[in-house]
Amino acid sequence: MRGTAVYFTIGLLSIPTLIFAACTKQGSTVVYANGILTTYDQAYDDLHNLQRRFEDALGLNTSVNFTNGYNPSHLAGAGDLIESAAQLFSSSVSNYDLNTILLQIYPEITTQKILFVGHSQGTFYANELYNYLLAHGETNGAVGVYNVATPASSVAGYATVPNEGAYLTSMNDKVINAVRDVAQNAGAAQPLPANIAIPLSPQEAANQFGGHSFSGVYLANAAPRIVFEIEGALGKLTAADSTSSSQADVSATDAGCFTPPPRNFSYYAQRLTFAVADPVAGGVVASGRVIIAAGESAYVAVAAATQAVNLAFASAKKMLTGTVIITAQGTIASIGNYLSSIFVDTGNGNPHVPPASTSTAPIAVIRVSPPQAPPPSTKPPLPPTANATSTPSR
Amino acid sequence: MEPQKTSFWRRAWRAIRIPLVVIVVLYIGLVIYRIPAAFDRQKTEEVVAKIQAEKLKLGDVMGENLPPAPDPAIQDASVAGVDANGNGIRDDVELAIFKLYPNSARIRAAELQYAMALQNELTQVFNSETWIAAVQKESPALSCVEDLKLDGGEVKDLVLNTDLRKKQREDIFKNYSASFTLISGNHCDIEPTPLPN
Repeated sequence: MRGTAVYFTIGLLSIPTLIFAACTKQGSTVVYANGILTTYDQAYDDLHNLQRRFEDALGLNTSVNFTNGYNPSHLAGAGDLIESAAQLFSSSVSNYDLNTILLQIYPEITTQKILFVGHSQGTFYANELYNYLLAHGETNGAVGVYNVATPASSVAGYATVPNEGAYLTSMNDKVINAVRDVAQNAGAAQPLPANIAIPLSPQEAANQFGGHSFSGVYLANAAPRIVFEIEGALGKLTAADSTSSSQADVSATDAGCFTPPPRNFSYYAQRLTFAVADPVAGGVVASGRVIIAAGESAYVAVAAATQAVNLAFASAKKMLTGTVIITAQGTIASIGNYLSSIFVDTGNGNPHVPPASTSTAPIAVIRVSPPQAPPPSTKPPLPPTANATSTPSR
Repeated sequence: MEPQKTSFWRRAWRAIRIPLVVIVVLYIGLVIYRIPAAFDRQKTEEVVAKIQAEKLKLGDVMGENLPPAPDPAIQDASVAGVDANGNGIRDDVELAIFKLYPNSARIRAAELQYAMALQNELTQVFNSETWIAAVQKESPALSCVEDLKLDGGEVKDLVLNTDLRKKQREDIFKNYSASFTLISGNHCDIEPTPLPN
């Protein structure tokens, strides 16, 4: 009796937990990967607006699912900048976010045919997700990529510079144009050439990051083209054994449409690190902003002081906003410093009066050691305002 | 031969019984530890089912069930506010929409549906599964409003009218956001075309 109980218990404990997820050949899934420094709300709005434009153009299409692969911000945005800098060199500092996106979308994806739509830094992830899926269960031809406002030099799935229909980048996108300068100075691969000219509204023209927003710029001004090209990309996807006449078309032996990455020690260690560091970084940035705000109030009171005092205060303010210290050297350090000079703007055209801080979003600054002056930038002049037009790609 | 076999199994049993007891005790401990999670799982399933099943009723659109004006001291004192008629729409928001659009049942239907979805996000979400269920209702509701060439900002301002509620939404999104799939299909709980105006 006792022996029977023991063997029964051993048997019970030995039963593995099996999870089956359906993976149908019918329909397709658009997975949206958001850009750098995007909040949850903005990522949600972007996905909603993308689906909305799709429906406006093509009707209520129940065969296309829209899923988000949320790319979270880390270290008050500094982590995003570091990762973006590394991705510019076709490298990666950490695979944590990629794995998190994969683990999150894995139960959501029930179709073999998947199109990753990336925006900004999300285009790096879209390319990486494509490569991962092809290496872990998905069949060639069933996965595609369409990138918007891409700093990447390629679109996954294309051996050379892709033809029309694989990406969309505006020549007035200030963020991508800044990345071109950084890439040129750092010897990294250039982002793909612009292939559309979306005019900037007065607000976008005044915005340091103007011309880059997925919903506010690209969808607002070029939705028909984006929808057309996404639809085209979806049409090129082919599921495995597409001649099957089975209505079910569900692979009963597949555990989902691809093999997700393991939740191993490394993954949990990084998760714990970010769980601690992200709020701390956000708090430090917030504290820094309080100091900045107090400093600005004091500065306004002594605004008539000498230029030497103004310059000294501006330097101190910039040091106070450097809340993340990276001990990177060489090219990564140069990129980080240059990006920090883009994202912390203490100049408003008047060298004597630093502008009052009005943004409530956390400012990400990478301070490298030793600090270096950013290289001079030669941004191309903005074209005159005109209707959005397509320029032929190379 | 037989005594040797018996001796072998006895020896094996002696070797594994203590580790086995440890495993069984740990397993039982894990089961006990997971009991709250099991209740949590049950609660999650109930709330997700409730959110998914919740739909705006025609009577609410036509004003058949309007609530009394809530006490101003109470209506904004908490995140949930007052919902005296229990239709899932906060009373001050419901009355404001009726005041804004007394002559358009179509706009009221769309905005009330969106208000209900936003209220669910504030009051029903306590983990990622419930968050997904709530945002999956929000998107078609917003689309229903956008179908009428409105932008939803008006309803959002009515629902998120205090710092407490804005912070609640921020915290919910920060803590529970996860990948999700938007639901395709009809946007509106109540088809606007048959409505009189």
